Amino acid sequence: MTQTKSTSAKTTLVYALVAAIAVLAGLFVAAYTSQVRQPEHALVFSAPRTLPDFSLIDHGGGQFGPQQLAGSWKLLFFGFTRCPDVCPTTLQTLAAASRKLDDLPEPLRPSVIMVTVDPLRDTVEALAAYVPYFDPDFVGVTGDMNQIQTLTQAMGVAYAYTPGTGSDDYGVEHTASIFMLNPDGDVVAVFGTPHSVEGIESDYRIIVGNLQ
Amino acid sequence: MKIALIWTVVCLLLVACDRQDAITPIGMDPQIENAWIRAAPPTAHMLAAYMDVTNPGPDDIRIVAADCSGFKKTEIHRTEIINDVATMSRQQSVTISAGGSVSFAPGGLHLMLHNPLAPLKPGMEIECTLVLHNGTRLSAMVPVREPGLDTDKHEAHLHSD
Repeated sequence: MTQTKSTSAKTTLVYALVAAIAVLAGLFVAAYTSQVRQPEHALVFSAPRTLPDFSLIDHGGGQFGPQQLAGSWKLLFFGFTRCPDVCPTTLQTLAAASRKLDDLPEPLRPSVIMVTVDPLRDTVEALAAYVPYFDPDFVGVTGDMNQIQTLTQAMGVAYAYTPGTGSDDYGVEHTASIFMLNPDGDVVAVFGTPHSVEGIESDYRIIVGNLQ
Repeated sequence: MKIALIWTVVCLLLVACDRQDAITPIGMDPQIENAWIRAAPPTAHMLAAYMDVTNPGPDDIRIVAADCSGFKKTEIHRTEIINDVATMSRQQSVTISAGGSVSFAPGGLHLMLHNPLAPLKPGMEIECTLVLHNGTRLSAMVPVREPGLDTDKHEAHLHSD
């Protein structure tokens, strides 16, 4: 009888201990998750997405493939130089956001890349005369259309050509999202439209802080 | 004599009424404000002009054409972003309701400026003209501005024909 009472007391103690540990664990998790800030505008993928192999050319004439995507954080988008409104606005927004992020340690600052979806008109020379105008460190990328398609398909980017009034003034509809890549060259997040300097700056800091 | 005088007055009134601008009260003319052209690399083939156009008058107006000097062609375009895909379409006209206004702004309506005849530099001013449905021409000297100054409001120097 006494033994039964003792066993019962022990069981109660074990239950109480388990409950206390569970409560403490819950409090710890709550405290931890409340410290992890979440981005307001960008969509962060549940796991980084590795890109397939591709071979393109940067505006300096150098090779641009997965190796060039790796090594630093990147903000990458697709556009074209004869785009009068959206692309220069995006480049301008990214230039302003980059300047605001200059206080980060160098390895955490973003490199900005514009990949053309109009390689027929966007030659290396055309990109060299256009992209660095917005920021000398920005990189324009062109190359064979099928190689560009390898990237657009992997990143879920849509584009289509629309006829203009002349043979050389066709337009290009294209996904205007900005993609964020980690130093492994994997896509970790996407900034949907509309873009703002403050939104990109703030979310970039949060994502780098959470993932580095 | 009296009848002749009355007929003269009536005729003068009819002539006056035939001229739309003659009956538009002062201060009711459409206005171009905050106009600017985004500075672009010297090799840029396409640029964009932005502005606010107000219509304080009692009737709707329609912008049916635009022309900016120093460019091969000027067209009215509208950017729309649907499901994150940016599309651009030429507009045959833009209606501004009586008492209303329309903004030509990045990511929306803009004047698409094709093929500058000479490179544009920040600080230059380009004459842009909007043609209304009734033939009225609104012109403004529009400053070219460096990227990064979008949020500033710059007044265009306005004059209308």
